[in-house]
Amino acid sequence: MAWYKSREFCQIVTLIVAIIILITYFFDIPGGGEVASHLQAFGTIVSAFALMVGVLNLFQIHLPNLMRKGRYWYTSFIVCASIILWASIAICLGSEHPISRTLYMTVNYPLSGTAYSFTAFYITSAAYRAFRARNIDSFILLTIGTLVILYNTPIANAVFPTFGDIGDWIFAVPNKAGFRGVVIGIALGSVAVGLRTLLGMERGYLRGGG
Amino acid sequence: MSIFQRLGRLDPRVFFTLLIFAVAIPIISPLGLPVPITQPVLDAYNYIENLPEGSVVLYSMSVAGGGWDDVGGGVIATMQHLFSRPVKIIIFSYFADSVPWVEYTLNNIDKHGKKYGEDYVWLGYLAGGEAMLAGLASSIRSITTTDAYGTPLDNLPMMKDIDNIHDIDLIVHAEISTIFEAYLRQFQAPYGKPIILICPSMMVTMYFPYYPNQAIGIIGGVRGSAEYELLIHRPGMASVSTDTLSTTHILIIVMIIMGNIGYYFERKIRRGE
Amino acid sequence: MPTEELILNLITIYLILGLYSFVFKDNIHYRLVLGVYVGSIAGWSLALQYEYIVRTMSSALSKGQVYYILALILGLMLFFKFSKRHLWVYRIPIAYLVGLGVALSIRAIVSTQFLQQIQATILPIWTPDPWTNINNLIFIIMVISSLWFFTFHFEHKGVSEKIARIGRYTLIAAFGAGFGNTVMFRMSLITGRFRFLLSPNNRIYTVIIALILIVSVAVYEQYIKKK
Repeated sequence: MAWYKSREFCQIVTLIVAIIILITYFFDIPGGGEVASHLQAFGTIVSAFALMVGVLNLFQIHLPNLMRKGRYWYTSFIVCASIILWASIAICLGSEHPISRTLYMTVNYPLSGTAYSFTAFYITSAAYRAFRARNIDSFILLTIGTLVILYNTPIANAVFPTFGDIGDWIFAVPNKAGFRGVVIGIALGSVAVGLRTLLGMERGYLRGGG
Repeated sequence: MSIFQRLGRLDPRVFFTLLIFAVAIPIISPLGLPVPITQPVLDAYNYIENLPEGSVVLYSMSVAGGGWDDVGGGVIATMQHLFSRPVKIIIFSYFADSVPWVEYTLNNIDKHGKKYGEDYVWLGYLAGGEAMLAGLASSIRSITTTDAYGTPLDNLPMMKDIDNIHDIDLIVHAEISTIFEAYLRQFQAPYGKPIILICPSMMVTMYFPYYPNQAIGIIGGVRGSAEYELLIHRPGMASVSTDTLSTTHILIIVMIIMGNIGYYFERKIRRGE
Repeated sequence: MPTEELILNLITIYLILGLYSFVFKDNIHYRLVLGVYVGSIAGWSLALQYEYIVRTMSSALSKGQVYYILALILGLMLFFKFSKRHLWVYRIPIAYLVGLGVALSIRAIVSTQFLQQIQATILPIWTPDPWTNINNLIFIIMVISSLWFFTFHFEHKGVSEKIARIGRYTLIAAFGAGFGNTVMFRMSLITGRFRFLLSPNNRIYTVIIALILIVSVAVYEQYIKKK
């Protein structure tokens, strides 16, 4: 296999790009800042292409289903047709055009909000059927959760203002302490995974291909 | 079979219908209850209120459609507050989805005579994620040389002396996802720039460790947005939405309490058997 | 209400109710609306990425920065994802993005999410206000114990186990607070949708379209059963 097709070549690319960015950040090298700046600018363009590839990946999934008239083939048809319609209108007319904006405000925005709000129904059902204080752990979780829900409830604050002080304390002490531990843990884990990636020990992103 | 057992076997769609009523009733007949102001929101308000004249604010409007109902009130309120202050504003979007909301916000606020190009600029959607933020910090023109309308930045009077993070005095970041740490890494840590965060309710707890040292203020979700609207004396979409928080939250708490009482009694019966 | 606005509102009401109908029963309206949702978000995103690329490239090339063609080539190499034979081409821009992303995040993460967090944890426990002293002491103990909980190299026994347990309860309390706020987030979103559906102009149409959806699903289910 040619050297440029190998995974080792890709690892060298990763390492070189990362070293340039890191060195120019910590050391003042003449011209280094400009090189890093251009690498970052290149990255924005490549990221935009990556998002486009992600969208086109949907065609890879839905077109075969549509061709062989598989299960819910009409959903696949609607997906493909919608992508083509939206992309065509927004590219030809521009995303700032009133028609593009109207499409966005009529379809994209309401559907996004609706999809996000689905969980509200399941939270309500689960509140009765699943949220049980079975042991000390779930008791603490439910108690703190209930106190925070009351803290966020205007009528509860109007009737019993102490909920405000309790909520403020929960946010300032146990919540902040717990998530601080999580944030520090994430930082240490990220540095470890980052170093492993640069040293070639993490190769998951290179999966696939010959 | 006890009543609690019967309720436990109830079709979940009954609970869904109860939720619909809990949401619908305050919308049709508003309650108008006040919302107490919390310190993180007050800190954000005070910082903007005390910005010196001529300060430059970088506004990252990165709220996509799905979360607009939660943080949209905060975005409009902070933008309105900034436009009422003698400061210059540069707006950009981290996500493509946020673009229409910038136009919507600018069309729904009182601009207090501020002129485009002289007092505020809209750079549009800037792709690239964290790489884009890093590039913006080192040089805005390395990421984009035009505004959202295609006008070269050098032709905009406001942008003549502004090119990198050192020319920015405050960053306001409105998001609906989990990208705030990227802003900390690219703006706050290397350059010490103050950041005000507008985030969805569910992210407030996760970002609270950064307050007040790294995020000088947090406007969290619909409640934080309603508080900010009250502070600038312009009740808006968030203030209207807080009424439903009362009914829906009380419903959730009643469900939790009833569920646990039922569970407690069932356990007692089973132990007795 | 102008006719154009009425038609747009009717479409939006149908889309929202079609998506919400899933919580009651999976049905054809839901699947159609879901297809529109996925396609519209993807199409919109595709168009905006294209616009950004065209804008940036034309600006760079007009300034004589011909080397930006490299970025274009790297980006186009990503499309080899769809080729089984030349998939190796796709790995190179991915390697570039990973190197860039890793470097950008780890160069500052130690400062933002480690050093500054530790600095912020060092709080005074001897101030004139006893309540502040108690809170700060509890806070410091909770942070240390929650970090201690994450050490999995050895089994926690005795005092170590007690510290890890305090850490565990701290984390549970933090997640409980997160749960409380998540409830508010979801409720605020559903409120936004219902504010539109139940606004004075849209109420009657919401009821009519809801009835149409229910009847049409019932008729369709009967038809499928008979078939």
